[in-house]
Amino acid sequence: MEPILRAQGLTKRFGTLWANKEIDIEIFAGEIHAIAGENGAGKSTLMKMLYGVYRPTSGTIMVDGTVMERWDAALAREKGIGMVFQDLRLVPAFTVLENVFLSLRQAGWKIDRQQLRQQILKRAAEYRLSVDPDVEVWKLDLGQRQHVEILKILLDDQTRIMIFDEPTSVLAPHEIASFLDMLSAFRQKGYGIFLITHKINEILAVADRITVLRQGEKVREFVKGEDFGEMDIVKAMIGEAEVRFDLERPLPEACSRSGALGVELRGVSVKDDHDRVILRDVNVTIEPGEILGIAGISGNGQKELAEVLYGARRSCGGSLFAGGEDITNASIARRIQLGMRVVTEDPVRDNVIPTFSILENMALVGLEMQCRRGDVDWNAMEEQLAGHREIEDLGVPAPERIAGTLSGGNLQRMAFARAVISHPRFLIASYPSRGLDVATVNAVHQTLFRLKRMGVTIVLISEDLSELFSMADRLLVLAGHTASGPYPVETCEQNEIGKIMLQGDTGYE
Amino acid sequence: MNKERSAYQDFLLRALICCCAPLLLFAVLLLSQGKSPIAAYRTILTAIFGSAYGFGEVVVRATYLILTGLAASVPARVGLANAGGEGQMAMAALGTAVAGSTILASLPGWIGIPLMLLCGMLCGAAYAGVGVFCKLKLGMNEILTTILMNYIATYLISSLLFGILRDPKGWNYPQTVEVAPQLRLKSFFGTRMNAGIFIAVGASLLIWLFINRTRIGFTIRTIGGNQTAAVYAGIPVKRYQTGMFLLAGALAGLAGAIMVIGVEGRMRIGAGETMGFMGFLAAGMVGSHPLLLILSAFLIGGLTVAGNGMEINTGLPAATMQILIMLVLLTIMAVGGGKKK
Amino acid sequence: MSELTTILICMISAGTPIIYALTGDLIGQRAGIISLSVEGSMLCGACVGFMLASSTGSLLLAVLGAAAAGGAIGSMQAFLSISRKSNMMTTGFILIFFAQGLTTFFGRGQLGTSLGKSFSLAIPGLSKLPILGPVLFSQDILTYFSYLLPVAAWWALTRTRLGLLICSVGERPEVTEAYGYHPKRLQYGAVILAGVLAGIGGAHMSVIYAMSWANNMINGRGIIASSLVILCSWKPQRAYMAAYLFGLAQALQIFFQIHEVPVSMYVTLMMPYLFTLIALAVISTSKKPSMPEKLKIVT
Repeated sequence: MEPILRAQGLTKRFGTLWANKEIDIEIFAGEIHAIAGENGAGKSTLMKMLYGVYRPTSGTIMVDGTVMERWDAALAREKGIGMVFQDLRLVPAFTVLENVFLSLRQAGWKIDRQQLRQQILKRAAEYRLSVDPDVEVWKLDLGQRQHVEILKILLDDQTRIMIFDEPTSVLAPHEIASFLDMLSAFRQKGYGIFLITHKINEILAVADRITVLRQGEKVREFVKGEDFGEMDIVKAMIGEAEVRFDLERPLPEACSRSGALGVELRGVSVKDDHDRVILRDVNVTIEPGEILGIAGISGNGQKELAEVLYGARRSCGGSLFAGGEDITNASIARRIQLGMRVVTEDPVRDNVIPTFSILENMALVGLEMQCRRGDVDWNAMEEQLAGHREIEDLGVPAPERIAGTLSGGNLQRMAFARAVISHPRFLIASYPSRGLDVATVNAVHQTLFRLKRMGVTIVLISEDLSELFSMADRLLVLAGHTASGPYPVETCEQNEIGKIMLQGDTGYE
Repeated sequence: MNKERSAYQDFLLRALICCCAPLLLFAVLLLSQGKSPIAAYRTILTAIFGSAYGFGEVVVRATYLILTGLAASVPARVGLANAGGEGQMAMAALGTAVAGSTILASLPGWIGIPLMLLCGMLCGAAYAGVGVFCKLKLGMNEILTTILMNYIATYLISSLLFGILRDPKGWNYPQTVEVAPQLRLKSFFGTRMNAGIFIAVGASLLIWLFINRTRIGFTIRTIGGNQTAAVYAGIPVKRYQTGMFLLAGALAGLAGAIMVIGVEGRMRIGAGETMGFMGFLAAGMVGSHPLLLILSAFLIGGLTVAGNGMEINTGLPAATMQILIMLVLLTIMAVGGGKKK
Repeated sequence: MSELTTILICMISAGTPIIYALTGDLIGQRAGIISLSVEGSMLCGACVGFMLASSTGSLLLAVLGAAAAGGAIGSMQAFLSISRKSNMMTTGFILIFFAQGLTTFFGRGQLGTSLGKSFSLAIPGLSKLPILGPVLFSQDILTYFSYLLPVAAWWALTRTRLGLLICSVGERPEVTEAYGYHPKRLQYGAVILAGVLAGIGGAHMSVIYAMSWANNMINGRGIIASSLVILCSWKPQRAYMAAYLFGLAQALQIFFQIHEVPVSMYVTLMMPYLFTLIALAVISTSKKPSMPEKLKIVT
């Protein structure tokens, strides 16, 4: 049998980084081909090349046995390749129907609402997708949006291959089972399916073939029926045992708690940017000097919680207390005075002035202001900066570099270092290790522990459960519009936390 | 090294295009109407440099343009746009003229002149206050509101000058009563040039120092660089924005006051027209840099004066010169701002 | 003719140019670009339209010329704010003055001349209706077309692929691009269309309403149209309400004249601007969920 799509020697290079190197891959009608690998293994890059979004640096792509001279997204669509992206491709202000219409080129220049609505409802019923064609997309939750994305591909009659990019990351556990059933139904209909994922149990449940990528290279291919087990796949994915830096949790008696600031949330509710309540009635006491981990799939209110704590967003109910003081309506300036600091999830957007030098940026709630004749004394500030060891530990760029010319990783390190040297008493760190290399991640973790020893309360927001379990004292889990916990780390299992994380909307509206 | 040099050459090339392209296009325009571009350019030069009076006019215009340009530049530093310099200047001129002929009329010059200037600044700031209120409290687009307020100011002033504020001894001409003579600034060299230019240049120096060499200026630059980051740094952004917008109104008001006490001696209909708009554009031309603004103000001021000369000499309307000014601005935008950084 | 009829007639004819510019700029804003330059497009349209109408006597030629002139200004706005990414408000501002200069320059021969010919065209039958007849159906072809324009724009923006694509550019250009369309080309189209429609509106001002050309005769109407888009919450079907509100403010002048209200002419001239400002202030107190996402960054 001829594969629908076959690629040979696919290579993609971004500057000096080999995102993909010499990868051979193929897909037949009626099979589920899982692409497994850790974050950054090159799964998405590979799929984007097959879908025509990225132009391969080298390699050939064949459709039905014919080598494609030209390959782009439009041609890929024409040849029947559809992709459900991780960042869903929908216009939030449009209704489901309008979004579907835009994606279907063959639907003509004029919308036939009646007919399209019929089509949508028919397909939705066929695969048990819950979709109301006339509701605006921004009102839908992520799982429903995914259904819209899938509908777009199903309604295109040319579609033969479906690419799913981490589809289950937006789903709750009970949705995952029915999602996998749906994939099997697609297989039965004869679609070829690429499933990008790093979740082994999903792979084992549905995949007919598994390609494992590691650091941009194809390391192994498993075919269903061969003799392999869960551990074989895991080994292929993570390779040799990782170099672990020893992280020693500071002993309680080694920590000074006198300077730390405790914060209490009483019945706090928060709205997101769309004016919908995203967290309801959060009650938690953040003890002075603890590291409170915030677990949960991102988009469940982490950003909003951090903003409410820091005062960048008003809560829509409840009250906050810091060290006994009611700070519900206190300004950010007052919170800074109290010793609260934040590194947001996107420090380049929220914490950095692109036109300023690193030194000038470090002066914003970082270095102590030293003034001379009405102006900031930059020489003294530079000396002060040189006196902090974190600058070197965390690899902050030279003080005279202009922030706008530096990479996101550099700026992320700078924003973190700035919060650390600013004598914090309460630090909110959102995803402080995201996208950083192993050595720097280690430095970040060491620094957090040092802060803890010095008597700083830390709220650590992360998606990485192993990071949370090795750093935090207690975990608060955000899921389904509420916060559960906090659970002490010593007495709970990763699986339990994972289960709560993936819980759907229980008891919400 | 090589790269730097090519960036430098690139800059020169852009600057050259900005200088030549508008002149060429304008020449084509003139030729299409059967006018000689060479004669026109000669007219421009003689209008500006041909006589002390002409050059004095350029200085007078530049005075207004520097101040209204500052009125646009200062809010730009905190992420706001003030397109209302026109209305702020006009309202201030009216206020100053009225004050100068009534409550301040009997004061001696040494105290009266500063009070006149202060009066203008207060009027300008008050009028700008409406705009910044609409922006920060009501979330309205400040460019649209300030432009609308310019029209409102124009008609309001017209109705007053034709109505209750008309000078009863002014031959029915729509203008206010003249301000007391000791409140006027002296003119130099038989032109209309006056001390106002020193005030304007001084203001732009002070603003530059304020923004670049003070601690508050650092805060202001922070807000201009990234408002979200400024909020996260605990800076009361809205309070600074309000302050800077009012300062802008005061600067435009200063232009109005200088116009009354330095040149006109009273408020008359049409006085200082388009100076607010042109100041906004002069600021846009140099990316709101307070010192470079002096240059662009002189350039635009010179060209508007030349427009009048052109009307007399070639019979073309003065607005023709507006085409040349806008061609310069459009070229600068099209080649990516030769002066940006 | 009764007083009410007179005021309503004036309201309609003053509102017509606004409908054109408003609908045009609304489409542009849905694509994420505010064209303050519709003011300039109207000026150019008024000038060119009048020149062609007085020299050829053909309304069709006048409208075509006005559309081309307005579109030319629109395409400059498009080039600078889309391809060169310059600040769209400043660009619009400069283009207004550019158009002012150009029209003063080229229109200097037309000053003081009056169009010998009226292009009004009563619709037989309908124009005999009481009140509605003279108000709505004894106007001219451009006015009749303006009755249809907002509805047509509404239909196009919500019912056709092109319209939805234009709106999607103002919301999520990356999605538009992912579907294989060109966001920039769509923006160009929308902004140039804004200029074209504004140009036609300008022609209505000079050829039909004033029947003469005067320097800077648009006098802020384009800027008002741009502002009124906000009042319409970016929904074209509301253009009638916004434009005729402006027309009514203008028609107050006649009311004052008839009743000899002792109000300065300049105060009545100020009314439309004040109305617009107050209307914007009132609408601003309600939320703006319908604002295109890309404009939220700008304003």
